[in-house]
Amino acid sequence: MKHSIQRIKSLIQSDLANATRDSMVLYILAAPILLATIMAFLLPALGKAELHFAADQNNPAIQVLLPELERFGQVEALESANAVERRVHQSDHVAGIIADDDGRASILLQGNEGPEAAALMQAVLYTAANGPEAQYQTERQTGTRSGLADYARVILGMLSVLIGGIAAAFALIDEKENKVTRSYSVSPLRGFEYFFSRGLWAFAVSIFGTLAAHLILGPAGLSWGRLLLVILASSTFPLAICLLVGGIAANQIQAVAALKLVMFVFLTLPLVSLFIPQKLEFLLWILPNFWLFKAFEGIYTVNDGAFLLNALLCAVSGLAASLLLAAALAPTLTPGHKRKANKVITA
Amino acid sequence: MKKSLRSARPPRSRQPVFTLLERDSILLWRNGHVLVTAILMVVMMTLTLLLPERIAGKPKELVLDQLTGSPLQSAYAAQAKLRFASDEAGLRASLADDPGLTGIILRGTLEQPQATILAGAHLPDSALALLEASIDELLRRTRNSAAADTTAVSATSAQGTMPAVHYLEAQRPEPPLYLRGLPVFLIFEAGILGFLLVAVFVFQEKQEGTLRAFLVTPAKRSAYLLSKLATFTLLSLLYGAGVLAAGLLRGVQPNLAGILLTLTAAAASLTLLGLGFATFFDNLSQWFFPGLGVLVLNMAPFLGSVNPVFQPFWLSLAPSWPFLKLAEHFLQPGGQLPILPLILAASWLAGSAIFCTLALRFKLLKGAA
Repeated sequence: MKHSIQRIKSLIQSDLANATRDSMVLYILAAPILLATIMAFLLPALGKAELHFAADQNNPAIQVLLPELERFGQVEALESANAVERRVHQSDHVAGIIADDDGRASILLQGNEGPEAAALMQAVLYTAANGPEAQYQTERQTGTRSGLADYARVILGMLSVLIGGIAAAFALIDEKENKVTRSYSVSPLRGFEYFFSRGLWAFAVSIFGTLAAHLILGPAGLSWGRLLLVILASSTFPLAICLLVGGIAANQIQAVAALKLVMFVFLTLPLVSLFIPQKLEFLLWILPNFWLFKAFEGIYTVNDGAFLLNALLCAVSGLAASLLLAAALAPTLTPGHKRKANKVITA
Repeated sequence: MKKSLRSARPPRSRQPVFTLLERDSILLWRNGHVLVTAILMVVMMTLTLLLPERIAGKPKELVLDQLTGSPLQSAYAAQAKLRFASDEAGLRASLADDPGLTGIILRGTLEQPQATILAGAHLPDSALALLEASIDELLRRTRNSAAADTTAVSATSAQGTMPAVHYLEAQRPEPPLYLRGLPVFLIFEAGILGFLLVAVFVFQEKQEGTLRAFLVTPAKRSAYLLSKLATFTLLSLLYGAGVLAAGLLRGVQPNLAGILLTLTAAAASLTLLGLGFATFFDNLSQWFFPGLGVLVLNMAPFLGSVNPVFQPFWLSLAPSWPFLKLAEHFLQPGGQLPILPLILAASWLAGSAIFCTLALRFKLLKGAA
């Protein structure tokens, strides 16, 4: 047991040394921090996005409306109705305010906005012209969050898990290219020790990414207990990704192809569950990463009471996927594998 | 004798391009990129066929109608567009459970209502003003309906005083979800394929010494550039065309020539940009982060697609922006061709070609014919 731990520790130290030498792995480690920082700046701007109006300021009927219209969005005051028409024609979504033949303010749209946009513009212009129908007061709620920001956090959490697997996968491919795995066959390193050290290294990287992203982007007052539970439940995912990418690809070039597919399946497919009818969601149940997505949703979005079940399914499916992949790819990855099997993969 | 030898030799300028094109295609196949692209194409086609026309989500507002007689609840409870709470405690509990929900409490009478909006701190004041305008419209319609003594809520009595709406072009219906996703997929997935793959190929050629071997052949730099451009543009086009075919099966009626031309131009532009960009790095490890950084920046216009009111000026600086606008136009034709995106797209294509040519001339293939 003591020797086993020593061997695992040596392999992890070797991975750590290689990581500091290889710029790609360093970049991979920095990616969650950078992405979280960019999102921290971008998400508030996205949330504050407003309607845009272009108004004919030289028309008296419209001029009096301009201060009121500014409550509803950004107003560009232009010098004529023709200027407003040209502005509405541009590629962004701007609603024009011009005067009718009878001098009343009316709305000018391009035609690609949809009926709800027209109805909203009518309501806005009517209220701006005639005043509100009720006495309004606002009570700001603390602890609320934007749905967009919440799902950005979920995606970043998933990405951190993926990044752990990618970092380990590139380390594994590096060993394959340099034939280091063959040298393991003359060392006392056993198969499960090899997989365990790979998995531990990948898990450590993913924990780093998940915690860093959460600290930068995560809202205050969130349950750390839930986050830690999801981190534990997802502990086998980085190994599964490492095996999938590192096991299939013989070199970095092939790894990029494998990564393209893995990233799509891992990140994009669970997001599709937000758009497809609920009766079709069962098609995604077979994917272990779908349950990881649901578990992260349970941390950052609505509390629907199924969090523990999702975390459990995440843990079980992740473990099953890792074991299946390890069994399938063991002949090509474990120390002492046959040269013939290796040739088939690298052809 | 000399004349027959000359005529037997193939024209030098044509053959290398096709030889390189054949070699790149074989490498694409051998490294699994064709298989991966084919799998992704099938998955995207399936998604296009399965995505609904609309997402039937729950309303993001919860209303407590405490007006005398609860006229709004009577008129709108059966419709899916509004949700009603039974009491204030229930409303506040729902808001606590769903941080994205906004609460509206209406008190007083229909003629003199008071409204309290319970909104999240993250909502801007302009969003609250829009919500107030929507509540005003709801109150007006209910009031007019009650005054006309009809049970169904009618908008016609309100329409006579409402501002008129004029359209510059023929009004187009709101595009279904799968149609809104198509330009995003074509430009941000099929269109960028070449940027990533061309870099991977360049580094493989460097690693294997193929580039050095090319430098001592009589083949010109243009043959190298054209073979790469043709290989990856064709792959992107096939990838995009497959998913477009799924859209056609769902009834999308695009300007086919326009959308295919846009996709070709986008793929060509990104391939040339990617090839030129890759010349500044020695290997995949060095390129990886900066390359992905460029791809992420290129995806910025996606934010404007998801949130149409988010259209800051800097989005239009991304290479993908003009191609995205053109793709949106050609997938749902009917309006005027957007001129600015057309000019920008042509500029990006020309600029990428110049950048790539210079990068090959002075860096990657320095010394070649």
